[in-house]
Amino acid sequence: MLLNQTHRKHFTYGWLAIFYLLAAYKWWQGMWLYQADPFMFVTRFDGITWQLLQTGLHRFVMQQSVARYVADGIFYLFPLVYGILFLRKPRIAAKLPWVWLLANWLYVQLYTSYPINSIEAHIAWLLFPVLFAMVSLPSYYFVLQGHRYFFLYFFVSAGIWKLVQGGAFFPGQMSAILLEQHKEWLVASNGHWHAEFIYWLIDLPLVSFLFYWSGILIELFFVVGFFTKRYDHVLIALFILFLVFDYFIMRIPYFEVAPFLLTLWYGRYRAPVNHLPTTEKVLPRQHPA
Amino acid sequence: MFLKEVYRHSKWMFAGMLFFMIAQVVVNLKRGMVFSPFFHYGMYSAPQEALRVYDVNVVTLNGDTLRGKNFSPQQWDKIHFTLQALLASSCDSSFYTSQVERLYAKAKILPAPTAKNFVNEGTRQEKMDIYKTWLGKQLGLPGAEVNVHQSAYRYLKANLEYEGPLDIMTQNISCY
Repeated sequence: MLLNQTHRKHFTYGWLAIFYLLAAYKWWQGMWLYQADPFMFVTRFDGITWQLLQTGLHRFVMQQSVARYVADGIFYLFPLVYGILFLRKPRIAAKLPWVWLLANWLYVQLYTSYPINSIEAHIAWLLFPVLFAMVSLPSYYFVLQGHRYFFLYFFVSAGIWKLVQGGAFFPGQMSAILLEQHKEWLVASNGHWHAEFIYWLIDLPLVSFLFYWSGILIELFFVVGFFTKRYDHVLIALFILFLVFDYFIMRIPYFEVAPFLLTLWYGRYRAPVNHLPTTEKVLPRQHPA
Repeated sequence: MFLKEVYRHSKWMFAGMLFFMIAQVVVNLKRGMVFSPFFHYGMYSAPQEALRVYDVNVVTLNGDTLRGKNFSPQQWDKIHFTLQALLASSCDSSFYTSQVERLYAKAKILPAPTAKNFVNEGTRQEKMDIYKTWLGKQLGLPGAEVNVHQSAYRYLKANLEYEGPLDIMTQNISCY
């Protein structure tokens, strides 16, 4: 089936639903910027972040609670405004994403410059406004595919690094990771079933290493997506499994990358060829000259 | 091929995608400084060996140790990431001189950086005092008595065994 405006509409609704589900979850967990109320920042080794730090904006936001409310307000309201305009005034909506991209970039840089969360996990908020900025359906199709390929790369590169750097060949790897990751929580959770389970994994390095390798295999399996879309539904299931186990074993809530799921779901639709006057698909082989 | 189709559709889009791909791969392969949104996703990939002894931070609220089961991963991380960042901020000054100043000097077109934008001000004690007040508020008990201490723990037979106290205020952090 060819990608059409209805798919685009459904994609936008799905994306907004994920965004606001995550927003509600983060609010419940006290993770909005105004709730986190940071009093210090982290200087990560990021040349772009340094340009923002150089402005001193992060210090201003730390000192002024109003600035934190404004930042949250902009970040969490923008998608809603876009969604409403997309429904009622699509022409105006198409102009909004570039401003949205800038707002998201500023918010994500600020938010992750405090010791709350990693910037890598927020990559979706930095990339998706570019997709929403596409006016024509063919452009939208290509950028959607670009996002899909990026998501595949995101997983595959993580798997490859584990092979290249050697973690994949070090049997005590997962036990050591679990100890380092959870030491405070384990000491503070003596006797709790979840802590006992983590202790059990640590105590059996080969079992925990099996989990580590399962993660690697899941990550590497995403390479299939570069060659065919036939298994995208499997990739969706594997991604959800990965998120669940990451949360349960590593206690890492990596849910912010969830919007990329939609690229696998909607990526299966084919190019809207009627809008592509120069592609081979407009000159189908079944109609030879 | 996908890129060929993109090229036929729009040369600008093709150039943008090519730039994104190349920048992403270069940053990933170099493994040094990143330039968001170009990151490397090599988390937990380097071989890691279990340590003989672990430094464990313990937080108490009105005399009671914070129990892991009472906090979600996000809430727990907020408490402990902030504490770890506080301890690691002892390295801010050396990081600023060894990396930020050096690289800004190398990139001659950029104006000289300002230290206060890259270095958290204050002594460890001062930051710890702010942390305690902040944590009391975060836990919904402003003004509560918050204490932080550090102990050595050794992993032994599916358990972290207490070894002895450490002094969190004088603990040396190895910097870059």
